[in-house]
Amino acid sequence: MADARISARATARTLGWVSLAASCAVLADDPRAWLERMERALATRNYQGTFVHEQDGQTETLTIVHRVNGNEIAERIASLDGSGREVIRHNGELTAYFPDQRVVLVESGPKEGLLLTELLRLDTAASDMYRLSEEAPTRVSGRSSHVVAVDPLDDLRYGYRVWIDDASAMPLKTQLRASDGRIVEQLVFTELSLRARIPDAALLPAVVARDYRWLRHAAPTSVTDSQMPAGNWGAAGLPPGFHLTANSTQILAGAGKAVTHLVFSDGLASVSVFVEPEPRRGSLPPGLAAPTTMTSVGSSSALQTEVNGHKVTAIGEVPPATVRAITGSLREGLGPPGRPAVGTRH
Amino acid sequence: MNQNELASQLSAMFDGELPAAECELLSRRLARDEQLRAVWSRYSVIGAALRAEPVAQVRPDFARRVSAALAGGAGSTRLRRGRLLRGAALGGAVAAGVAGVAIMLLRNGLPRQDEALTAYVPTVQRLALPVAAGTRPAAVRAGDGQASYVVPPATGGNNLAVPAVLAEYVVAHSEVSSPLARRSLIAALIASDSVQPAPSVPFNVTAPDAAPVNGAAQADGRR
Repeated sequence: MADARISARATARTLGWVSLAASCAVLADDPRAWLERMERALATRNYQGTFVHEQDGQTETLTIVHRVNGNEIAERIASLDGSGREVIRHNGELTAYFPDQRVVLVESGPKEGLLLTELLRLDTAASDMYRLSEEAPTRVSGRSSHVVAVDPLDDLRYGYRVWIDDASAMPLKTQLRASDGRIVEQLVFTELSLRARIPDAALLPAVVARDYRWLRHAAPTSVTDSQMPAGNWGAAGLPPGFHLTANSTQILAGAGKAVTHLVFSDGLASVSVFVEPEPRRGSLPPGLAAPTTMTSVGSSSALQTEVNGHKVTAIGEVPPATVRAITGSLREGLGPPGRPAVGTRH
Repeated sequence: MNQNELASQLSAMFDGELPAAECELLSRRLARDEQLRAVWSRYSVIGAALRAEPVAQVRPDFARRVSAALAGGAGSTRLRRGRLLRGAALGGAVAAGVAGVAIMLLRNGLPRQDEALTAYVPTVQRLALPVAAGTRPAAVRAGDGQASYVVPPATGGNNLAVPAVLAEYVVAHSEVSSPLARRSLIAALIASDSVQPAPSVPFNVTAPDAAPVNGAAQADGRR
């Protein structure tokens, strides 16, 4: 099939879309069906494009190459704005290049399939937390699109507006919105091409990183007993809708020590909590609050504090209060009986 | 141990830079010394004030009073400036006033008539700049008889920036988040001018964390 191309500049001359649209006839106008189509498109399409990431008046232009080959997903995202940084996911590994620091971070992720099933799938639990609706169709970059609204029913989570291309079901524009309607973040494709084939060369880093410092985490099997985080961690009194979806032990790139990685999700948003046995200050007497910092990472909120003499880092695409509430619900000794299995995800 | 040494130790412990053995000793002292516990709690407020701004009335003479307190304790030049501020608080100076000065610098810049503060301005500004546009108060939560102070996220400056200490967590979380959220996280990771995956960076409540100083970023020509 000829490449299909979406571009503000090249829309009109795109004949490939005609056949694509015919083959992707809309089966239902239900917003859920549109989300599922988008999900399928993201999971199965090869694409290449440029998008603008906007937040609080800051913009960053990035380029993306995404290739699906059976169960294997490869992706390269790079900044076009000068830092030269890029992130490449390939064979279940994520590699982040920081040419300005001459550093490369390598992180092994879960199996790709695990991620795909989680994409914007509003399960039963999530449907109590979000309202799904469709807004009037509109145009983005000259293309007709359906607008699906996912609105949070409380202020503990963010919602989405997604402009889904009628013909390809690719998300042309995405907004993250607070419960009061405020736009937290926006991501707009200025150019997007669907490719029949993407060559390996398009997924190679632009930088030569041979001489960089490579921070790579060891294989999970190298986690020794002495490295295992003490205690089994769980949560009591989580914010409404959130539940523990993964509990694993892993070694973060460069850290050289095992951390417990808990993942909490409401079916759409997720919050990671990392617990490390690192009593930097000894055991604080009761009644003293451990130093806590809250930081924004893009649209995500990150919090660092200490719980029971452990260093705790929580990060998630939710409002700061939610990260705070989840961290506050952490309890030692509430995890599954026995030591958590290395690399196990539920 | 005199007050200055104690201030230095407590501050180092707060910043996570005190050796574990000394932490244990100081923890025991904290447990029995109510005044020291109060200072610890004030550190939380100061840390919050340096990075954000709890809404408080700033009295006009705060700058002068803090300046005087700082000048009085300036003997320990080995201390970092953040520690100096906290050391002054321990010395019975004006913890709330320090917070007030941070707020005032943050909103209005340096009061010209107060020359003595000039020496500390670069540090305070560096800490304050990332949140200069924000006006949200620090969140205060009370429970189980203890209060905790949470610094609100920066709302100004380069919000796409990822603090060095968070880089590896951002990468790990991106692997379990939804594709749309992952794209945002990776964009933040790539966009930042200040990310340096250095796991050895101490866990530090008053670190200027992520956001690069605006002026420095501009001078760097990246933004």
